[in-house]
Amino acid sequence: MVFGNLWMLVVGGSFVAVPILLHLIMQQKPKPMLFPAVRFLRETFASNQRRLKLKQWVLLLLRALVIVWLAAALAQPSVAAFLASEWIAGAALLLIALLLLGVFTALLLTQRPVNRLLAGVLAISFLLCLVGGGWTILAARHQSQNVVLAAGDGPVAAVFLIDTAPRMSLRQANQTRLERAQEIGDWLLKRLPTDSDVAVCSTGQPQIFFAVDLAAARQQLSTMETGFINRSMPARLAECLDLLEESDLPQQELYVFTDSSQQSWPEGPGLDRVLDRFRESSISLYIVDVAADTVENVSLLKPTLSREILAQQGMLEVEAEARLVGPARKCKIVMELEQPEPTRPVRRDGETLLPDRFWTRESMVSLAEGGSEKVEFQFPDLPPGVHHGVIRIESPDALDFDNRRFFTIQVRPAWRALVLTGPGVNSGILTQAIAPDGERQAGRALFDFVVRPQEQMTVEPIQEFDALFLLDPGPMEASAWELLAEYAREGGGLCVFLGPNAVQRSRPTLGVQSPESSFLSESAKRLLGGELTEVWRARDEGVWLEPSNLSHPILSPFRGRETSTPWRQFPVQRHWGFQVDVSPEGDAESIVSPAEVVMRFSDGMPAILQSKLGNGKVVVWTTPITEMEQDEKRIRWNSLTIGQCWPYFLLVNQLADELVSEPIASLNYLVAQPAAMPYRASEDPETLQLFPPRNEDPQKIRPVEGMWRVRFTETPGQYRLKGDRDGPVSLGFSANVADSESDLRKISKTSWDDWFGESGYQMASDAEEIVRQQGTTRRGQSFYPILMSLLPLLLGLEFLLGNRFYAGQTSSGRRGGVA
Amino acid sequence: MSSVEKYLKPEVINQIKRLDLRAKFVVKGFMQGLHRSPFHGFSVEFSEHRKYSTGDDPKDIDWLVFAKTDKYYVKKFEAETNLVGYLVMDLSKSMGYTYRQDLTKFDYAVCLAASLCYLMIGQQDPVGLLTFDERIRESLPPKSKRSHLGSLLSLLAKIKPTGQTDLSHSLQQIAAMLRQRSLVMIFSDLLVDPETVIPALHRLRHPGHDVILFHVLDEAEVNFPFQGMCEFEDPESGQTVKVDADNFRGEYQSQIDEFRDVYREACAAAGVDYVALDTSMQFDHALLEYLNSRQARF
Repeated sequence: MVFGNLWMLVVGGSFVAVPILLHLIMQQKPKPMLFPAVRFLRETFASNQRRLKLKQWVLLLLRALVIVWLAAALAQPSVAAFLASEWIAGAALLLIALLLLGVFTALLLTQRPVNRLLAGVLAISFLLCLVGGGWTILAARHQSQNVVLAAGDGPVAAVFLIDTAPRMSLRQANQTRLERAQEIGDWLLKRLPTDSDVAVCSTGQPQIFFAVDLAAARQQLSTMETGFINRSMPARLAECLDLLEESDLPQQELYVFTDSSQQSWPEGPGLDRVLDRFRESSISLYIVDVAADTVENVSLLKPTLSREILAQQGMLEVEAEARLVGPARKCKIVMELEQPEPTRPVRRDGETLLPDRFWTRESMVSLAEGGSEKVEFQFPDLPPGVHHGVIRIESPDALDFDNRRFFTIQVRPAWRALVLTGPGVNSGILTQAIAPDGERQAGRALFDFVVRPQEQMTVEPIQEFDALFLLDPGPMEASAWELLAEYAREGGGLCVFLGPNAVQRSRPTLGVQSPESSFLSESAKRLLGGELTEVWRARDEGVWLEPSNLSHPILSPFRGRETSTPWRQFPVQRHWGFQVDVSPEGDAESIVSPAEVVMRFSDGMPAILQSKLGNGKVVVWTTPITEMEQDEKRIRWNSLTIGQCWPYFLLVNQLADELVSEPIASLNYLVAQPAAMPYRASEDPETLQLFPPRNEDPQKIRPVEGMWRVRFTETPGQYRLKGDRDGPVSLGFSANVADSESDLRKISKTSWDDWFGESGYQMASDAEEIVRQQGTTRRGQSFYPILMSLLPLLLGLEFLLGNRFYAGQTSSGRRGGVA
Repeated sequence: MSSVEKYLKPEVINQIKRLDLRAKFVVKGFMQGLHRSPFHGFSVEFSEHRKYSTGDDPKDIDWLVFAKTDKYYVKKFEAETNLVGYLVMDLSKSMGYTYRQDLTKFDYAVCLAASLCYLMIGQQDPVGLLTFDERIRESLPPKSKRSHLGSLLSLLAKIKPTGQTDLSHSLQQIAAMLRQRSLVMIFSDLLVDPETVIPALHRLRHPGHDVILFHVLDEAEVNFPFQGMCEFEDPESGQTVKVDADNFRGEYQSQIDEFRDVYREACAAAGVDYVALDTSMQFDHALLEYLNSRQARF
């Protein structure tokens, strides 16, 4: 129990001394009277005196009770709302006990002889009421120990946490969720006691702090906007708790304005820690749900691109998926792809002028209730350059941000790749798999291959090639190994397919096929990231590729096809053993980091390994890919390229992409992800202008560590980089909001109850509900109205008894006389 | 006369100049046909004529005078009464009590006695006066002269109720003192033990005296108008008692009623006329009421 005006209880309670002093010290002197018929008075004097004293004590008790009652009422006592009934019941029982005690005393004083049965009943009833009332109040007091109620209208420490996720811009009843939260929050702020410590923060705000005053807090609230970079509610709640704990004010309140979406409240250790802190704290938590019960929304998911980087004249395939929340409807999806315009973007009259010529595709989709539909668009024969595109839903709906998705692709000339073949190796299997003749002739192939025998490695300047494939190489001089290593260190991508040419031919002993000494040289070890051991021969059906983890980019085409890829149809009879944990000797700079096993055979031996060497990467296959079906001169090492070998095609194509791809470069990001694009020293200018999606002035950026880096991508859209070096240079990328931001599924009431406990929080959805709940929580159940409404009864009773006991005492002089 | 005049008040409080006039006013109605005098004696000596008025006995009409004057006259005779009246006044200190501070019980009794005295002397009945407290203090022998009225009232005006009371002993003294059958009119508040008074009344009644007991109480003693805490002091004994008057009123009044009933029953048994009065009653009305009831009995 807390008191709104504790001083009133103390001061008012001290006034109880007044009637007691009046009774004890200033007791009214009886009026002296001459009266001849005293003899009649003396006969009933004794019983009358007892009654008189009883009345005096009753009146004294009543007057003291009136004062205490009034003081208690003005002190505004309040208890936790859920314990109010217990307190009232306990107080009522104690009052009844007091009444019974009074009746019992009166009975003892006035009744002669005392009715023992009646006295016994009264005494037992008194004891029962006393024990019952006392126990009830003690129990309620024990339960309310952890409940902190505000002392009346005193200042509070309050934190208003507003979810500013993009979902909060969903419009319902001509008002966005955020606007509704702002309206309710402002209404609440105006009603907070002055001198309160108030902090208004959003999930997108970097720091939270108490505002200078309520006006500043209201201003802060009114200027709040949704943002695309937000912390989760549990993480933000933890910071709010930290802030509240800094406050010295006893009453602490936390108002959370949320749309109750599951995405804002991810379950996990973070939420568990916050919930634990809440259970141990006495902070009053109000969750204001600003989401309507029913919503309708069509959202576009992040588009799936066939490739981010296309060869010139290549075809772009874009798959868009529309998802519907609400009743079935049709909607038109439009995709626009900018035509490259080197002079744009340009800033003119405060406006950013963008390319205004597009290739456009449209499609009408019928969405079932709660369903989704995919649409695919194709754009063939794209010219070189960076292309920005947007997919949008034509028909507007309640939530705007997810009606558009952005993407960026780059169309560029084919990469140049050098294929070095070992003795007797046919490179066609590889080149046809990556760049079929038809594509190459049409100019659409991603790779332009130059094939040379291994011995002619130095004929071509290998540094000019984007990728280098070494097919079943034979022994090489150390200088050749060093040349390849140098190529890799400079940033080139090298792939080595080890095969029978590496077998030591001079000394095959005991059937163990060891590698040529060339492959065991330090140079070879540094390049390969490990050491060849011996040729492993599989029995019977052989072994097969058995990827256990598809996280590596080379294996990305097989994600989602884990069970449908027929690896066992392509057995491997022989492969090289490869020891990874080798520490080659040499200077520190030349030490190769151990190769990472990308894929293993079913016997657990490494099949594909990748290691990083300088700025480049080296991929090693321990079995060749050049085995021909009709080659009967020697034992075939594997059947990877035999028959319907589509896994092989996917694998080598992805391998080729991996070799030429920049390690951290991409053209499509999620908001808040830092973007990076390679700086091409030979092509790019020293500075570029960054045009962000918003209509803002461009920023000048410089390459950092060989990369164009853009750290702030908080707005979805297209980020354009423009510069000039012997002509216009255009780069760019797109940023999209994560698909999960469009997930409008709400948290159930059961989850709230599980998290915070049924009585641990107050859920409200409108202002009136908040006020009512705020009233009961902030001050609990106030007894002020009850006490004040009963006070007139006590005063009336006191007045009646007082009049009856002391009526007509207008003269204190002696009346009556004897002549 | 000034001391006498205050007893001439027809009202309890107001001043009346002459007691005899006041007494005449009070009593005259009884003499002039309101009813027959209760003290009608064996008178044979003619005294005077007076005009017949309603209520007079037609047999008293003097037909000779009617023949001469053609008007009705009644013959009046000087009585040689055999009924001697004694006014017995209680001089106890309690008789001097008054709640309203205007008319004590004693004053009330004196007014009443003066009226009766005037009435009896008007009927030629001799009236004497006896006062007592613990014993008989003053005595005035009965006479029927009109001048006796003045001296009797003068004496009453001088007397102050100041002493203790021994009513029983005094009444027994009176009973022993009276030789002739008399009408004894006792004025007292009777605030003594009834058990001692009642035998004395029997003793007084025994020789054949006609006894009228005027039980005069103050209105406060009857109505108990006090409120709140009071400390009551007995003026005679000086005993005090602190009581809550409001609580006591009911019980007190029932005790007073019981007290009066005791006397009423005892007096009825002894053949004594018991007249309960209090100072709030108009004593002429009280007297009228009593005389009416007495006339109805005779």
